[in-house]
Amino acid sequence: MFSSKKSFSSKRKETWIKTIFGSSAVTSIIILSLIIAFLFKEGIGFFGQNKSELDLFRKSGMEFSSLITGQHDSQTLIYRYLENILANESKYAESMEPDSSEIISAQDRNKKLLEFSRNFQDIKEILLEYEKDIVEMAAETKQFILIQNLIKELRLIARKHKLTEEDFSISMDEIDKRKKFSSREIEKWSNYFFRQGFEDEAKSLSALLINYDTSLAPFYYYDRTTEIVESYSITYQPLIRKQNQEFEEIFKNFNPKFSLKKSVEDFRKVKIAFVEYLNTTELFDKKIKEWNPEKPYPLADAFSSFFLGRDWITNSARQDWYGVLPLLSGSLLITLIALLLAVPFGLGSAIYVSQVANTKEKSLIKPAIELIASIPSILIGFFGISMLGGWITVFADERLNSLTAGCLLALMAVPTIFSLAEDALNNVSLRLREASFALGATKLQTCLRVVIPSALSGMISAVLLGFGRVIGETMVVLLCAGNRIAIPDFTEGFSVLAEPVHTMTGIIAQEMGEVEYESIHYRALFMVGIVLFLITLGINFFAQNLTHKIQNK
Amino acid sequence: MTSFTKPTVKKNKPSKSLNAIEVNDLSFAYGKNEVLNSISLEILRNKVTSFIGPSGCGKSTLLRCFNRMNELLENARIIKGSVVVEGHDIYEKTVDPIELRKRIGMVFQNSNPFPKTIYQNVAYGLKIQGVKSKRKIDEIVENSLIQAALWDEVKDRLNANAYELSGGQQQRLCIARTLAVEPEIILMDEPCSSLDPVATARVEELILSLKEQYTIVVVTHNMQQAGRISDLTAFFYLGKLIEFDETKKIFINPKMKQTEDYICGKFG
Repeated sequence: MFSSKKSFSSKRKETWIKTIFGSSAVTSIIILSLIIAFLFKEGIGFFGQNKSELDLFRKSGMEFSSLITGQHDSQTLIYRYLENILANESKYAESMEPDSSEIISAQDRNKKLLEFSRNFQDIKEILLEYEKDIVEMAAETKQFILIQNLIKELRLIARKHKLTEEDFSISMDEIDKRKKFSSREIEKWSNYFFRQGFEDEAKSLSALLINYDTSLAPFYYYDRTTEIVESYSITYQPLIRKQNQEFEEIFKNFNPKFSLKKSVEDFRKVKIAFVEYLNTTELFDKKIKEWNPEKPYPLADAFSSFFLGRDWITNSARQDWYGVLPLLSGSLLITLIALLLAVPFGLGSAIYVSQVANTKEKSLIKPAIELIASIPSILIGFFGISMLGGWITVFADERLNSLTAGCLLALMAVPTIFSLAEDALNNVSLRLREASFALGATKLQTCLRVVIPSALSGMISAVLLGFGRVIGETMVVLLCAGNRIAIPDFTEGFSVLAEPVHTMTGIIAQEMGEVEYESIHYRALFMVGIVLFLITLGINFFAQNLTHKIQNK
Repeated sequence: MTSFTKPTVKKNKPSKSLNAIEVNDLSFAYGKNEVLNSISLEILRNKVTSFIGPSGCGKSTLLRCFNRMNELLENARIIKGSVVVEGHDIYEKTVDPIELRKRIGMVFQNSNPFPKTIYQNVAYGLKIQGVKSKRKIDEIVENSLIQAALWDEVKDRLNANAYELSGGQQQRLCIARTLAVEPEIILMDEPCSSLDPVATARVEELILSLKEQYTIVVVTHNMQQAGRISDLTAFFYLGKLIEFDETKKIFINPKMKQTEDYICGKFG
């Protein structure tokens, strides 16, 4: 009856089916691990590059200039206060009756205030001038160090290929000790590599000479680190002393009168800020004095400048910064807004559909909510730009901000949360509901005391998956979040909800297409990707754990 | 005795009859599928009544008609007849099913404790009725567990999850949960079908001890069980009540051929 042949063929069939399903499962696992491996391979290199960038930042003197910029910025802050008072006062003066005696005296007062703030600015400028000089020197030094590194590299190549020395006889030690390289030298070395048949190396050297006619006069690349260090005692110290004296003088000679009470208070604040500034000059002084271009950056800074970095500045003439915080906080803020809106809607409609609605309502609500999930995100973005943005301006200054993006993402998260929560609620056994009804519980009591507690972990995991959906969404945030790279000002209270922000997904989508392959910027974007990946991985892991827990119950 | 009708109109109570439930010519259907056909019977107070019959004969459906649990299913409807409990037709519009179910408790086929602690399970019925006093709840929980012969086994772990109990203990917990609401009638839908013989014996003992205070209706597949615990037995077949009499008579000397065949195991 059971021929062995038949059972053999059915066994083979089983093996085939096993192979087909098994291989597709294995393929997806392989692809997943490839993605993870690739992501990390490209991203981790960031820290090494960041470390050398930071070292260059210090060695070249750019760091020195940024210290001075910091000091100048705190002076600018005081100046902003002054401008603000001036603006308030002039506005008030404009509202007065023309040609009255009051307005004339007000205008007179404003003139004096204007003069004072101009003086302040002029004094402030001295520091800015000095900073510009430093940046110039630092830029030259940076160029010099890059060339120095290039020549070192070439030296190693020449040694590796055992080339004859002839024109390229400079030793490693000598390269390190050199304070300048002339264009003639570089041209000579370039020709040398060309003769040896190393075209790429030759070109990398000759590229340095492109805008310079070497036949005219020798041109030098200088190391100006010493000058920068020396400028501290030669220029900086006397400059600050003079500046502070002049500041104090103008403050002493200025006894302003204001039309507005607020301005009196504001000017008092200006004075306090100025005294504070004077107290901090020593701190600035100490920092600048202790600056040492030879001291290498600690490796930890390569990490902390990314994970705790508050700036994301790219393509800057001075120094690029890749700090993830503004992007991370932007993403989290938008996610928070989206979840605050989507969770009540998603869970509420899930509870309604699974516990209250009749068949007809179910057949209307369920497809409607699930339809939202099928709208392409770019179209949701259009809606955000054209309609929602306009409505949002009722609360906010700008059309596109975290609230706009958050509302749209909430719309996109509702189907995810709804479907999963509804499943969890429907999975609560009918036997439990019957037991509750049999004890005389109403529908509402049964729902609140039996069904929801039993489905709670499933509902939480629905919310977590909604979180994952929202934080990973790209197109809508790119279109509607406002794309201003700054940490949202959480001290502002509720208006923080309507600040334009940039997100992790948005920045990758926006910048990845334009970066140079394997540059530090490229790797920084991969690191942002890794942070995003780790967040969504963690959330999904957590959600799955919860789902398992409920299934094992 | 409280009334389960919504407006608590004091009616002249009919002289307290021996009947806890009267079923008059009841026909019941799920959609077009008639599952009960002109059933009439009386459930006697403080007796154990068994419903027996092959699967699909309508015995569980009839049981669920007594506390209107069948209403939870869509398309369920009464074609004709009435169910009278304590002198009230429970399918009248003035009857609140919520109140009715507080008076007529139900124990289900598979033990179905809530995923809560033992204590919370028993206290559930009181909490939804709005009983606030912790002392009163404690007292009732203890009494119910004692009545359900579970107290000694769980008194030291009232805050343990109910799922940590064995199958038999879970079923007794479900009985305790039902008792806590202080019903007058307890409906049991195959309460021992998923229990081992030892646990079954304990539940049967319990049913016999509860008989003095409660009217009990048990649906069972187990003929010996019906013989052991019930005073009266009703045999159903294909939605019809074939025979209803004292248990002894049904088992020793059935009047109908179908009853005899079923009891002898000729079909089932």
